[in-house]
Amino acid sequence: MVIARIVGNVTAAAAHPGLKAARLLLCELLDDAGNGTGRIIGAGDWLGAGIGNTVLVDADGDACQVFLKDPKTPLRNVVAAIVDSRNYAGGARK
Amino acid sequence: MRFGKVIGRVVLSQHDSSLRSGRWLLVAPMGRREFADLSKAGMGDEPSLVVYDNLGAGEGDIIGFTEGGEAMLPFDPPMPVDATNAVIVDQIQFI
Repeated sequence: MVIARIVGNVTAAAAHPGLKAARLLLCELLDDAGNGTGRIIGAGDWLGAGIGNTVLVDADGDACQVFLKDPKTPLRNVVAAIVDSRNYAGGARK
Repeated sequence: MRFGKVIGRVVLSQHDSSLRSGRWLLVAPMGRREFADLSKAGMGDEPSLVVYDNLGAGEGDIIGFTEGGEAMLPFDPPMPVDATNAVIVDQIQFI
């Protein structure tokens, strides 16, 4: 899993049927110190993460099948957990 | 899933029979800089890629595409594509 911060969301004009009901959040990947790296990935969210939350994004398609109703949905990233706090080499990082 | 702006289309002259007819979009990936200022979308420094599309995205659309093995999931019989258009974006909220 990768650590990312939610920086927005996306509504779909047209999508694969499996993605119709999914909430798609824009997640910016964080480096070890917690700063944004500029890389944005979209992740399906069924946990209700909000903008600004730090989350764990699962980057494997098989893991997404747990959340998805339609196994044929082309989705590879899913918000697997919402991070409360984390420690990194001497000191908590939000 | 990564996002990108459709900057062109690709037409195949010859292709393997398993690649059934479809639309191939030339997509420039978007990062923070492009999301922050959509007019910069399509002029990023990341290399563009070709994405298989059956949702009907046109040039100028912003799409979300899935890469890797999951790109082949929707197709039966399987088709050897590594990037599939999964979402045509309507609205973006970005902080």
